[in-house]
This record gives sequence, structure tokens and C-alpha cells, in this order.
Amino acid sequence: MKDAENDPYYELRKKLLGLGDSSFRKTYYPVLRHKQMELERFRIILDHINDIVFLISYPDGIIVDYNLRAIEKLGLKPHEVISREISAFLFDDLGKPVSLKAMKDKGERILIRAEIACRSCGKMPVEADLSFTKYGDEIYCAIVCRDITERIQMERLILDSESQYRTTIEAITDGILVINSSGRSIIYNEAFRDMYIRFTGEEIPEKIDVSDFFKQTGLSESGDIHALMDSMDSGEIIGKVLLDDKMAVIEIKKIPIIHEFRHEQSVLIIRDITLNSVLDELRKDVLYQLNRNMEQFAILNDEIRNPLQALSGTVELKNPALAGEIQPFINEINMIVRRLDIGWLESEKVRSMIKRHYGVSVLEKDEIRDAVHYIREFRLGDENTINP
Amino acid sequence: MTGYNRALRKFVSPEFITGDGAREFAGRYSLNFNLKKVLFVTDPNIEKCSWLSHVIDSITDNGVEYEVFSSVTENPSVDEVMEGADVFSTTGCDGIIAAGGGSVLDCAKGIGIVAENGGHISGYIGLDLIKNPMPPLICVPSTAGSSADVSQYAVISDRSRRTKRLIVSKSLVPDVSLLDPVPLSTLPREVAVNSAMDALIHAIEGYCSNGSSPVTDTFGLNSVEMIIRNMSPGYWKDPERSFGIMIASLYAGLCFSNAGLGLIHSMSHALGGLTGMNHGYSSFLVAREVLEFNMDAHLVKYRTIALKFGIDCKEKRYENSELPGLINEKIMDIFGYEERPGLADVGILEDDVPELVQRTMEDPCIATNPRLPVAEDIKKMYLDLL
Repeated sequence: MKDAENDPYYELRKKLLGLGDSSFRKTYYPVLRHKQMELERFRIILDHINDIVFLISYPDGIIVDYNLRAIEKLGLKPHEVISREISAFLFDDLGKPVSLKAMKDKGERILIRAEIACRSCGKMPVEADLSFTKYGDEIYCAIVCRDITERIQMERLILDSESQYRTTIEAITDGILVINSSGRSIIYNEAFRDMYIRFTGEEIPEKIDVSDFFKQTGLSESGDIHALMDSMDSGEIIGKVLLDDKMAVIEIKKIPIIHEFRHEQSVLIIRDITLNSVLDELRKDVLYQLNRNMEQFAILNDEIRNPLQALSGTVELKNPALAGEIQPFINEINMIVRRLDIGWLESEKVRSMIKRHYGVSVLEKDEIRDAVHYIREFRLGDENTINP
Repeated sequence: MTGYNRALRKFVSPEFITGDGAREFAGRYSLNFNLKKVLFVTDPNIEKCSWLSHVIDSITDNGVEYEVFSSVTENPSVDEVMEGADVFSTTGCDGIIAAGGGSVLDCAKGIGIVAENGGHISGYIGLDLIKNPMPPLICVPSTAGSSADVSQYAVISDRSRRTKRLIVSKSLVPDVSLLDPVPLSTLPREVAVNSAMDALIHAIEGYCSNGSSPVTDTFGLNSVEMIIRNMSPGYWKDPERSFGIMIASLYAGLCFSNAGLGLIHSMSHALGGLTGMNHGYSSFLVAREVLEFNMDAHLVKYRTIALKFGIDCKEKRYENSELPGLINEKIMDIFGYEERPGLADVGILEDDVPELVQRTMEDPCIATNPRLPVAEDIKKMYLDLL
């Protein structure tokens, strides 16, 4: 300590004489030991990952190394794997042994679906990542095989589910159109395809710009459609599509799909409600006629009941005996009129209900004819039962 | 009371083979180190020497590939080191064989440091800054003097700053030294003489160092004795004498690498950096003044050295102050120097002195000088030497 305090060169001299903390002769052991530990640690990772790993010498295809998971999953003993050819274990999707040469011709790194021979399960479907690399003078191929049994099952389930959804969507008679945030179509169903052809007169393209579709159909002339499309909320509008002398009534319902607080897609349900609209209008007419009839009927009841009252009174004053004879007939007529009154009241209830529920229609009187033309041509075919 | 120095000391040496044809073991050692491709570091002059073919043949005969890097010049620069490290990495070398003088061996050490540790060689200037050991280094020294083949030092020059800086680490001691006297026979006279001078100064400074030990003393004193005995004009042409000088250089290297050096080397490094002059010669130029400065700090050892030079300190009863001059005369006589020029004669100006003093004070060799100088002491010496 005394030396260290009085001598400015104490520490320097210690190092010069090899007595410093890190002064020792050249030895590879500490570095090698450190590297060995790093490698052993990495080996643990390799052995415990769920993938099967092989190191193959190229071009002879001999397995020179493998991870612990490989022999575990394949149900083999080390001597059954080491120094064997990889072609004895790995098969392509046609069941043929994988040729390393053929793989290398395709590139330095290839991802294939393959099957690997497994003692317990026969052949295990795998996704094999083949990577060729040079080490020293030798070329090696590192193969990482991932068991995709579950993935294939999931893919099948997803495929089935998708098929079911597709069938369901196709079975819906309303047009279904899914668009992205730019208004470009992602999927649509057959009903929409029919609508597209019907309203635009053109074959449907692979991708549709929904704003073009609205322009072609004339729906965009209404500001409502723009407000609906610009909105991030659900909503619906009803619009009319004019085709020469024919008019269709369309209901468009928009359901936005929100993902992680972002409006990424929208589902448009496009329903042809022309027939409903026409029927609504006809119902209104029927109701109107029914109103008129009821009024006339009430007047008629009064007009029957009042003379009958007068007749009964007069006969009773002038000829009481005759009055007794005809009274049953007068009562019978009164009962009939009374029943008609009750029936009228019940009809009034029906009328109110109809008025309440079917009182609104987008069609004007002068548009009914065009709508019926449309229904005749596109909606009812030859079985035309509606007369405008 | 034995008088032995019982202070803590360490001794590290490489494996070495001595004798005619030792250089031909280069290939076998490469194979033993499991090397696939070695970087063969040398300089343009050595490349022309016929003895080198035996080294190369031994490499190829053992199935080892090699890549030649021969862009090394005297007082190797940081740029040369970095260029060599780049060749090492890009050509896939895994070991180094260095055949040449101290400059080649020092450059090879620098290449090894960068190859294994990365970064720039200037980042390793100093003591014990090397983390990972460099790749296997096999040395075939072509001179007898630098002892870079057995020492823990590497001297690298920064030519843009005109400095010579030391990298010191026990891990810089090479793995193998193949001490073959044959290459010495092809040396130019000036190189052969200055190398031997370097060896002598190594031996004297190592022996008198304040870090010396009984082990290093043995090597140091034997080295002085062997140099005095074998040094003669044209020694490198005489197989017996050249081998003697080579072993003396080995002893000197084992001595100073473990005991440290002193002020002669600190001043010599400063002068060499500034002027680029030969290291052995610059050491000779300053030796007498440093001996005078140190004499009283280790009188017994300096007297022992004087006795080795045949200066009978006891009979003629020379004053201590006379010994440095007498030793200097003996050295000039043995080495065939007719004069010892002043520093002004080799281009040093008085204005250079402050810079030289600062560099000398910063040189690590000063720490093991037997008498620790202050800046004024060094300034006085430089001014006296002008």
C-alpha cells in the first residue's frame, strides 16, 4: 500500500511485470470455455424447441447432427438416425424421398410441405425449411421440420367453415357486398352479381369500386348514399334505380366492421324491395277503398234502421195487432243490421292496423306503373298477378 | 542474507526451438494447431530470401494453405496492421506465421489482436487491453535483437503523428518461436549490427530494471556475456557467432519481457517515432547518458556489467561516474562504431526537446527504470545529447 501511495508508476509496473488483474499468458481455455458454454446453451435451445432439426452433409445427404426433439418425435434411437440418409426419413408431398440436389437447384433456402417418417404415427406432415450453407470446405443443409398436423386440421376446419359461410351467403337472396375502406370490393354473393348485371347491363368485374356501381345505377344522385358511405356507423337508405321505363326500389344496409378501433371493411346488404313497395301501395289503395265502403256501409245501416224505426212506430199506433205480427220481422232485420255494425267495428280495427303498419311507401302514385313493369320483368317472370 | 530479490515476479515464455533448420517446423506447428490457412506475414526483402522457401514448403507439405501479406515496412504503422487484419479476415485465415525482423513480428501481433478482437489497433495501445487471445502465432525471427518472438511487447507507429506506441500484454507472447540462425546470414550489415545492439540494450535494461528477478537476472547477464563474446564484424556470416548472438537475443528477450525495460527504451521510442531511425541505433545514442543517470540506483549491477565488458572495476578502482563512459567505449569497440553522433546530427532540434520529453514521460518502459526520472532530468539528458 505504501508503494502504491508514493510511486506514480506502481500500477503500471504491476501490469508490466504481469501482476495486473488481467495479466496472464496467452491461453485459449477461458475463451474456449466461454464459447463452449454459449454453444451448450444454444444446444439446449435446439434440443427443446418443438421443431425437428437435422444437419445434413451435402451432396451425400447424410445426417451428421440432429436435435433431441428429432429422435423424440420420430420415436427413434440416436444410432437409427445418425449417419443415415435424410431421404430415408423425409418425403415430398407426393410421397417420394426428398432429393437434396433437386432442392438446392431451386435455391439456397427452400420451404416445402413434406412428410417425415415417424415410428408411432407413420408419416407426420411437416413444413420443412431447407437452408444450404457452407462451413469450411463443406456444404451443409440445415433442415428444420415443423409438425403441421394440427395446422392441417385447422385448415380443414377453416375451409369447411368458410365453405359453410359461403354457401349461406350465396343462399341469401339479398345482395351481399363486402368492401374495404377505399370502397373496393372484397367479396360478393351471387345475388349481388345478378343485381349488378341487371342494374348496369355489364358483366361484373373481378374488383368493383362501389362508388362506380352507385354512379352507374343512379343511386349516387341521392345525397343519402354518400352520407351512408362516409359514416362509420351502421345505417340504411332506400333508393330507386331507373331502367328505361322500369323502376326498382333498393334498400341498402351498411354494417361497418371495426377492427382494433379502425374501420377497415363494411358489409353492404342490398335488398330489392320493389315488390314490397308496390304491395304497400296497393294495400294503401285497398285501405282507401275499404274506408270508403265502410263509410257507405255506416250510412246504409242508418238508412235501413231509421225507416224501420219509423215503420214500427206507425204500425203500432195505427194497428197494434198488426204491429205484434210484424215485430219479430223488424227485430230480425235489426239483429242483421246490428251484426253488420259489429262486423264494421272489427273491420275498423283491421284497417287501423293496416294503416299503422303499411301506411308509408316510397313510391309515388305515378311511379307504381314503372315499378310493376320492373316486377313483371325481373321479379315475377311470367306469373304476373299484379295489375297496376 | 542471500541478497536475492524476493519481490513478487512472474516469468512467461513461449515454446521455442533453437538450431539449424528450426524454421522448417513452421508447417508442423501449423498442423498441430489444426490451422487450415495461415497468414504469412513478412516484408519485401525477406520475400526474396531463399531460406524462406523452406518455411513455405513446410507449410504446404503439411497440407496447410497460406496467404502472403508482405506490405510490412520498418517501424510498422497502424495502417499496415489494419490492412493485414483485413487480409486475414477476408481470406479466411485462422493462424499467423511471421517471418522477419522485429517490425514484421510486431505487425503480426497487431494483426492477430485486431483479427480476434475487432476494432482498430489504436484502441489496444496500452497495457492489458486485449480481451481475447490472438490466433496462433508462429514466429521465425530473421534478426537477433528485437526478441519480439518471445516478448510481451508490440511497437506500432502512427506515422501521421510521428509516434511509436506500445501494446503490452502477456497474451502477446507468441505461441512458438523457431530460432534458426540461417536467416541471419542474409542480413545487411547495418541491420545485423543494430539488431545486436538492440539485444544488448534489452539485456542491460532488463537486468538493471526495478522489476528484475533472480530468473531474469540470469538471462540478462548471460545475454550480455554472450553478446560480448560473439559480437564481431560480420558475425552474421559466421554460423557459430550468429547462433551465439541469436541465443543471447533470446535470453535478453526472456529477461526484458518479464523484468521490463527502462529509460533508454522510453527515449529511444520517442526518438524513433519522431525521426523513424533504427531502434537499436537510437538506443545506442542515448545509452551512455541514461547509464550515468541510473548508475547510483543499482551500482552493483552496473559494476557487474562493466566487469562483463572487461572493465576491471576492482583493480583499477574506476570511479563510478567513469563506468558509463567506459562501457560506452567498449560497446563502440565491439560493435565497430567509430563515433556516437549527437542528436542534432540525426536531425533533432532543440525545439523538439519538449515534445521528446513529454513522449518519454508517457512511455510505459519508464516505470521499470531503476531510478524514476522527472521531466527536468529527461530534458537535461536530451539537451546534453544534442
